[in-house]
Order: sequence, then structure tokens, then C-alpha cells
Amino acid sequence: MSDSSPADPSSSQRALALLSRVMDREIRLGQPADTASLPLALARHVDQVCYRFEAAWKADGAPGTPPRIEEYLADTPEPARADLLRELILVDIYYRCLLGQAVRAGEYLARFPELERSPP
Amino acid sequence: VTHWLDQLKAGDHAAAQELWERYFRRLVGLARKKLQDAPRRAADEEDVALSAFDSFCRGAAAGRFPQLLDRNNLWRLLVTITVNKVCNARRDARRQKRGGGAVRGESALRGAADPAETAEGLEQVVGREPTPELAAQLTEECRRRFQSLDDAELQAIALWKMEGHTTDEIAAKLACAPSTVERRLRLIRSIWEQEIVP
Repeated sequence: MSDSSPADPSSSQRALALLSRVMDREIRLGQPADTASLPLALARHVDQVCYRFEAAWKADGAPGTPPRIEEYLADTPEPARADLLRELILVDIYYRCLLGQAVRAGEYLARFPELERSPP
Repeated sequence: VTHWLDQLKAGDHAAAQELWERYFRRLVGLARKKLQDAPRRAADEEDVALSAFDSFCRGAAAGRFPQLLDRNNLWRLLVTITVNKVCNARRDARRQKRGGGAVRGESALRGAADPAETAEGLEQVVGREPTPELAAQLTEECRRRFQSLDDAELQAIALWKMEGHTTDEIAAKLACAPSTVERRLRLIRSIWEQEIVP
């Protein structure tokens, strides 16, 4: 995994550290980290959206136009949004790595500022 | 008699795992015997649950046990649900015997899979040797919980998990991201836990 902004190594390291915390499910984004703590209906919703996102990756992932997290996140308010974002990022990272694409932590942070706002 | 819950609370995970395995081996042994004795019904969903049992028993014989501390340990959840029901039934029977006056304050018994939350209820049952009745109830719960999963892939994930496959192995079988397997295991746990409260 690498960041695309080598001009600022400290920023790059910070972004990578943050991303690894997302992957380790340490980041709560102000919400409980565990989908099991969501009401069942919301947990099902998160699962279904992620399922569609993953299906889109499988169908059309490379090398054309990969699915965009933003489109799958759009209709989901809190409290499910934080969980959904984390799960979508995890799926996104997996398929980018699988297809040999660069995974840029800084890009996720730029696209989703709430990642920065989350508690340490 | 010390048992695995005490050990777990005391932080001795290795000892707790050992006691859990010993208890569990006896419990599923009894459950399996019960299954073999019972007339087989033809329902597919029942076969899924029975297959999970069967595979698990083979795994147990080979020394593979679900980790007590694995949050997505579906067997522990299943045992917890079953023991809760047994505890609740016994408590209700005692109250009826005393002539009613039901005070519904034992929320710990109706809690989730956290051993600490259910310790009070579990200690009444788990502190003893597993009984054939408990084993029969475990079999029934296994069948009911699989029926409550309304999606074939969720059933498959639960089955593989209970058979002792790792997240990565299940992800490879389904050609999906490992995080998808983890997420769906949490969903299965939510579905099963939701039905704990009677």
C-alpha cells in the first residue's frame, strides 16, 4: 500500500496509519465500531449495500470504471453511515489490491473528511 | 468446582479454553447421540444444521475447537442461547411453584453472548455436567437458528464457520473479500442474538 503524495512523507505516514486503523476496525467514527451493535435492520442495510458494491467490483472492477464509494454511501444517514463507510473502504481496498491498483490512503482521507474527525 | 467462566473472568484464557473444550466435547457428544437416535426428517434446512453438527463433531475429534474468545464463535453463541432458555424455563417453573409473583429483573440471563453478562445464568447450568436434555435443546436451537437465516449464503457462511473454517478460507470459497465474511458473520450473530429475548 502506498500514498500518492511523496512530497510530504509525514502526511503520507499519517494517512497510512489512519487507514490501517480503519482496516483494524479501531476507528469508530463517533459510532460503535461493531455492526452487531447497530439495530438489525440497519446492519442488514449495511450488508446489502456492501454486497451490491462488491458485486459491482466483480462485474466491472478492472480496468474500466470501478464503483465509487460515494454513490453507495449517499442514501445512508447516521448511525449506519460510519459503519457502511468503513466496510465499503475495506472492500474497495481488497479489490484494488487484487487488481494490482495503487491504494492511496491520502485519497480516502480527501474524499471522506469524517475519517480525520474520528477519535484516535 | 472451578470452570471456564471463572477462568475467563480471571484472565486465564488457556485454562478457560481447555475447560470449554472439555465441556463442549461432552455436550456435542450427547447431542450427536440424540440425533442418531432420533428419526430423521427430510427437511433441507434441518440437514444443514445437522451437517454443521456432524462436521463439528468430526473436527472436535481431530482436536479442532472454536476459540472461546472469538467474537464470532457461533457455537458459543448457540450454547449461550440454549443455556439461557434452560435457565429461563427453570426460573419460570420455580416461580410457578411458588405461586407466581414474577419479577422480571434477571436481565443478565436474557443478555447477549458476552460470558460476563450471562455468567449468572450460565453458572447454574454450565457448572454441572452437560445433560442429555441440554444437548437435545442445543440440537433444536441449531436447527431453529439456521432456519432464521433467510439467505443461502448466510447459511453457508454459518455452516463453514461452525465447521471450523477460517475467514480467509470462507472468503476463498465465496470468491469475496475477507471483510465481507467478517461483516456477514456479525450479521448472523445479530440475527441470532435478536431472538434470544423471549
